Amino acid sequence: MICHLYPEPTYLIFSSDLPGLLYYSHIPASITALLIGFFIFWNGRRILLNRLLFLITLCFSLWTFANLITWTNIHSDVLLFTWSFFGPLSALIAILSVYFVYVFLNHKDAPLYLKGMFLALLAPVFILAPTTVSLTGFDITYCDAFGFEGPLYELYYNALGFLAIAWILGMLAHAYHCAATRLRAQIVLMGLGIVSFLLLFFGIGYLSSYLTTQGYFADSELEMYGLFGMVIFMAYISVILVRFKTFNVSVIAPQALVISLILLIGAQFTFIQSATNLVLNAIALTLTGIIGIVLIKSVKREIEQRKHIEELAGDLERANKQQIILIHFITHQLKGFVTKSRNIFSMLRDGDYGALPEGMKSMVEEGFRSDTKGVNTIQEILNAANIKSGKVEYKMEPFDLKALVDELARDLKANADSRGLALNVDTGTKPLLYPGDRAQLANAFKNLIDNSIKYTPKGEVRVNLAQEGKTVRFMVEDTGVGITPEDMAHLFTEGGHGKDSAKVNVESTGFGLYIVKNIIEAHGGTVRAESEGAGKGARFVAELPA
Amino acid sequence: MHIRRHILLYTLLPLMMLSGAASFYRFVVANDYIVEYEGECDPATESCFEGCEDDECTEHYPYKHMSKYASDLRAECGPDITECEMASVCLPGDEACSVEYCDPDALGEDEYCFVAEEPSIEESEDGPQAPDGASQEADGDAGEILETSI
Repeated sequence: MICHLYPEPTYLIFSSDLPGLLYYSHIPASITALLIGFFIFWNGRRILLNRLLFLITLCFSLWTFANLITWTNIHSDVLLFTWSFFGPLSALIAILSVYFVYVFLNHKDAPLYLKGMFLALLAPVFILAPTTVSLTGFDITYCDAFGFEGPLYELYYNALGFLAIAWILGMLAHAYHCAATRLRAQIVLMGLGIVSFLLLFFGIGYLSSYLTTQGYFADSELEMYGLFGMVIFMAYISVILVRFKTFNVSVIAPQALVISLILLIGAQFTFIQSATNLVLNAIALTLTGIIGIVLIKSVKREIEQRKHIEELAGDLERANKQQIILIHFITHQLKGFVTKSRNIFSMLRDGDYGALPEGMKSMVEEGFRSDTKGVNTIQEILNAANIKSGKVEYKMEPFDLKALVDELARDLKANADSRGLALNVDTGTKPLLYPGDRAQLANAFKNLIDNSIKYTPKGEVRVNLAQEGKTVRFMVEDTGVGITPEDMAHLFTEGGHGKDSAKVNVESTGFGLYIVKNIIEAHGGTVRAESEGAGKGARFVAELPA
Repeated sequence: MHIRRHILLYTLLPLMMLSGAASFYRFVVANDYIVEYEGECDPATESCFEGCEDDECTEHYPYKHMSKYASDLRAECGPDITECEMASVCLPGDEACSVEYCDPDALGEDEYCFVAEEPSIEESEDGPQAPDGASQEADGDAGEILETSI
């Protein structure tokens, strides 16, 4: 039967005498959704989340296309056949949205019982869609079937929509409560996007259908505003794509944005009346197209550059790892050789092979000293490498920090004396119990004192240990070569030598302060250096939480 | 395992296809639905509703509510009922057919009963006047219009 009061459409969906908003609301929303959905699907066809998003956008686009047909077509049989898809498509959108949010939040497929629930909710929709429970007839005068929608339309489809919204809100709230802080932003963005879409789609759709059936509106023009919910959803999806790479898709937001803009501007041609507006819109469309192409190209270039940098960074990391392995291997081997040589010198020096000739004694002594320094240097490099690779384990046990510092000072006093330096130590009078790794802290404090001794040609080195409130402060102050602001910047970095440090200490590995920093930070503390400049001495302060 | 994982696809897809095919058969092939429309009405013999020819409602026409089974209507009139007299009457072979005439006691919102224009004595003496009287009455209370017409 033909609705004889209305004109026949061309190409199924194009007709005159229609609300101005019709094409503007339908075409951009459905094409934007379909484009983004398809792009995400295409870039990760095996990922369930991508598939579900594509299915939602596909159902929405089919619904929009069917809706456009019902607005423009005049054949009752075609219209009713098309009308019969509204309910099933709405139901699919609702249930797929729940499924989508479940997979998004749990990073896994829904369990069988949940799929069973989805099936139980959807099966009646498809079974009853062709029956009179869904649609009974058609009004040729108004060219619609609003007055003939059965209980499925009046109750079930809308109830399913609102059930989906409540279900999704429940899942989101639970996930937000349990999620780590870094995931909460994603949950909020996704929640806002999908709930806005469903609320607008089902809320306005229900309101429009109800008010039209009740005779408050001549037609269901209001429902067009509900379609903009999908545009909002896609905007949020784009933000999530760009910020969190949720769908494992490289950045496509500019492409989607430009296409959406072109569609939105292009859709305005469907209702523009005046020639001036037509020309202005054509100019805007052309400019948007040109700027869009430039934008997409520049973003593509940036993405390629970023990928290149990421590849280089990966290569560098691999090379670094190989280098660390090599350093480990070499230093271990070297340490073995030097330790062996040192032991031989030690045995010779101690007279294990009889008394040495007088002329040989000084050479053996020099060999022993040199090998001892060599072992210490290699050990320092190994320690730094172990710290960097995270191999160091800290055994935290309470011990007397004062006793440790006193012991270190005693050991190093001979070294200071040999250089003509005064080593003044103030550790208080009472024991200072501290829960930490004694051996590692001994290494750190020894490094700091030793460092000051090495870089102080004359004067004194002062060592101070005290507890102030909830902080234990260990301080080494010297009258040495000082630190320039340039050197200060990379003092605690790996291999961070001072510019002229080699002139004062040729044996420096540059790893000493790096090791100190890592040990102190592993105890939850901080370490810093202070100096008024070259030649003005330096102060190293390590603060540990008591 | 494969079936359990894709249970929704394997059950819903055939259901959707069957549902679509059944809808196509019911609505497009069998025309198994009721059609409502405005049938031609003769105000001289029937109590008709009043319809507007245009948005401003300056011209009126009489009609009655018709309801027919689409399959019967298509067999009697083809797809277009505008020039089909059988569309405005219930025939003996019609499966489900009903006619609703204007009842002043059961008028819906924006529904009026049609008032046939009869030339008054003044009009016949002074010559024809613009049909303002009919449209004004049509804009007034439907009950009053019917009282004067019946």
